[in-house]
Amino acid sequence: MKTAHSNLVIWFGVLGGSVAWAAQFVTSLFLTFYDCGAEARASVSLHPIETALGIAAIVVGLASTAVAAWLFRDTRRAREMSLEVIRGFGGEPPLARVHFLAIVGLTVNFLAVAIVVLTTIGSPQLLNCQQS
Amino acid sequence: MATTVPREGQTYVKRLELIWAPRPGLLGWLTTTDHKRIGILYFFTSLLMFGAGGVEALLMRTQLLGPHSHVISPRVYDEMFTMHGITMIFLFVIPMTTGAFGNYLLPLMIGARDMAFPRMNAVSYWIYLCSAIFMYISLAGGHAPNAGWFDYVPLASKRFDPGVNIDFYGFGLIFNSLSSTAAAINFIVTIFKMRAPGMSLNRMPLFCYAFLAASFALLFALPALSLAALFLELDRNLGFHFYDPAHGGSVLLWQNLFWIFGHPEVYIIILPAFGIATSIIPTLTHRRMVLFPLVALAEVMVAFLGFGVWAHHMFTVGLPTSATIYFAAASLIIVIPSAIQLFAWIATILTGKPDFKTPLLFIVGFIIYFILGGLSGITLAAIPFDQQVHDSYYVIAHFHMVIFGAAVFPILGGMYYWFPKVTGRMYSERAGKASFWLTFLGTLVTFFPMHILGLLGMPRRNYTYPAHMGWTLMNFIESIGAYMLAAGLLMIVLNLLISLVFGQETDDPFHGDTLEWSTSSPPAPYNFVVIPTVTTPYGMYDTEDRRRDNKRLARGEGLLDEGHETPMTTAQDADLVEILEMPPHSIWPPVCALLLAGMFAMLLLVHYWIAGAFLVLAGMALLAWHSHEEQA
Amino acid sequence: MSSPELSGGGAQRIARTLGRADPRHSAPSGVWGMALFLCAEVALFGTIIGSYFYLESVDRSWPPHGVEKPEVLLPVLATAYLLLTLLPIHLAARASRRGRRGRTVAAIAVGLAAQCGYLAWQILLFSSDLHKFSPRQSAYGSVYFTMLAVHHAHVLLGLALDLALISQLLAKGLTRYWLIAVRNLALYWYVVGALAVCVLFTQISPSL
Repeated sequence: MKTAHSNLVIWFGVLGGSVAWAAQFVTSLFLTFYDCGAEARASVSLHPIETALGIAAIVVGLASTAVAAWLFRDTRRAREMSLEVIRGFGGEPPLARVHFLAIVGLTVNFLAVAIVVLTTIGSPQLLNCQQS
Repeated sequence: MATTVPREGQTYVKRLELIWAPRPGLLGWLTTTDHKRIGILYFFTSLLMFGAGGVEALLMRTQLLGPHSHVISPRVYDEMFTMHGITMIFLFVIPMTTGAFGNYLLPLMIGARDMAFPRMNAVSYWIYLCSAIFMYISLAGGHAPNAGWFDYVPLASKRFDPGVNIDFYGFGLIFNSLSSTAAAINFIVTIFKMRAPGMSLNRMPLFCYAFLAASFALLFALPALSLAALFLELDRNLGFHFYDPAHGGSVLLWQNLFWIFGHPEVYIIILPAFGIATSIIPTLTHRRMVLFPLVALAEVMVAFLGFGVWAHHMFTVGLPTSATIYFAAASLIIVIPSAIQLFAWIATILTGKPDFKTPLLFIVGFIIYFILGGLSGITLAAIPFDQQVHDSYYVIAHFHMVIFGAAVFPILGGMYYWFPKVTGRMYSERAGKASFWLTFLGTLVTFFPMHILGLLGMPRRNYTYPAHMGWTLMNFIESIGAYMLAAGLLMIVLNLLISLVFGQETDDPFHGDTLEWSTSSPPAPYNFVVIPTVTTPYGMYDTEDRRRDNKRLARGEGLLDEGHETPMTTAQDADLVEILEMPPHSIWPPVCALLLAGMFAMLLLVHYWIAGAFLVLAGMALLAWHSHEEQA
Repeated sequence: MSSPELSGGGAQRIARTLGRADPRHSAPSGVWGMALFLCAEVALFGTIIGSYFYLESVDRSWPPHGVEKPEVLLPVLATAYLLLTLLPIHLAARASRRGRRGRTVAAIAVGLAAQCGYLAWQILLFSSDLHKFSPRQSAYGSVYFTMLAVHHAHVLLGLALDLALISQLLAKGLTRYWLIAVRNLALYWYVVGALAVCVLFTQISPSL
């Protein structure tokens, strides 16, 4: 059983998708507000940029999901093991915590990727800057 | 069941009592850094504020009892609805949840002897108290804020509101946000660094996850509010143009900034309530929460996604459609973590052996109102529908279902649930159940008809209404409901006050699941005789751990009885790192808060140089604060 | 961080009381507190910069007619100079970890003097801007001057921290408490430096 999961990898598995969503959210929103201000500023249509940002965020989110899935598979047996092994005082991160974070990562990444997919499909269907 | 101290341990207890003995009298309360005492100060102050906000609500409801009534003047009515909103959100719910419940319970739940920064904890309270007094002075002087709690410009600009009313709002909220920011930092560090050895992230009680999420949300949301208020004051007092379209500003800048804060704020209000619910449900259904990791992540996820949904408060201002889709998607997905929690609560109750004592009744009431408020929330997320009912009583109905029904009910349930813990006495169960039904029905009768009134077109914040609009009956019913609700709340307070003196003595009446029940009721100033060690999230269900604690006590291990000490552990796995010496008491927190109050008062009176002098004095008080070195 | 000072005298006592100490060092709670405070600061600056670009997006001419585009060279030089002043602070943190009080105090003092120079320079630039246009003329002026004033206030707070630390280190020595404070001071200035770069790019963006 491998136990050497570095904390960096674990936290990428937990947070990767969320951070990707946050970055895509802020950037796309900024571009849209900027484009739809007093004057039309961008000479090119925003839709390809929005789609590219969305796809990039989806890729990061899926990579993060894959990491979480790998951690989950790797630590599945944590429940059956003796307390001392799970606890892992001092050494590598304890398996039970990695397992817990892997479950968290799988769910959170699913939600984050879902938001990005929705907006990536949705935004090109809408006219830029039409008032709602 | 609280552990009894074995005979061998009594000598250690005596020593700890000597080390942790609080200062006597008023000075003791003024200089205290004990999280439990600060929690109690928070509790009574915010309860008082709840009373003030309640009286304001009753005045409004009395004014709206019948058409064409003139119980209060239109000017006072404006001040009432504004102060009601500010009071309930900034001066009641947040201080009550994070301040009172969080302060008192969180260190106990994680097995610590105090918060990470005890003096900063005290200064948060004193700043909160000063900011509350600051804002209420305005009401006493007849210049209370009067442009609604979200204070939209241009109505709140100097041109349309030339008095000092809005300045009380602007400076008061900046002042208040200092308190909340300090409290949020304190909670996060406490949760990450002060957990009992062995309490790794996967063994942390769900209550702590809820408070962690709310604290992070506070930390990142409050700067937007403070900045919006700063821009507003610069516009009003120095003639800047942030919100003035005639000079290139934008009124929507206020709305964006306010709701960047305002929507996370909704989750800041409700997350601690979720935390209280996830504490009460396992205890009173006698089983562990189902889906523990998913509930933990749902609490954090709600707070995180809450930052991506603010524009759904602004569907009627004409945002670009291509921008709204980003908010719509986040608003859609945020339902899932909320639903995870809802179904987990329901599943836990259904699969456990529920004992419907008063606290659990309040949680069931909370679940019902959360569903009702959630459903009307979904209707409001539909943009065309929102555009029809925007600024009508339908919106009032929705957010009172959520904020009163879903956020305040767990607070009330929590008051009953932890009353024996804090006082060592039991409340009256019969009066408790009666108070629940009165409050539950009062809430329904007050707020449910507002949906109908909204659909009938009654706008919010109207001073009065003509008789022929068809609104009379519903308004009458609502006002009666408001009196019922007030009676229910009064009954809760009376029940608890009477039980404080006459209640039966008790230690752990519910057989609580988390560590706060492992110590005496009320807890000693040092919280735990022996620092607990933990191997599961339900400290009290795992009797082996507690037996081990007792053995260590008998051997005199893990006591930390050489000073005012508490252990510090690693953030993720709670491995013990070192032992911290905590500051016992300090006069500087209240002094600091008072000097800051002086600064804000001078800003209000446009004496900028004197305000600056107060700021320098506050800085010097901060320096003096470090004359006693703790190990931070 | 594997300095003997940080583990303090607690190590043996931990062994006696609760069994085992973690050999990995984790950041003390004081550093966590400062890091979180700085998170709030970053959020504050993020919101100011966001407001700047939001106002730019709704305004037809940015900067408005009659206001010249912001100067580039001097602000860039000033910011570069500020980044240079982080070096003595960094050295102070390093000296403090080795337990050298004299060097720590001297390095902070050098940093303080250099940063005072920076602030004075920026105040000169600020007042020369004020002669050219006013925050009371337009939203551009309002957000431009507010952003810079908040940044300068941030630097001023850093100077106060420098001064407070020098006085405390001289009076009380390099105790564990003040060792963490030096570490926090360095953290504070690193973030001020990073934010200064963000503010700079926002400030000169119309000229780029």
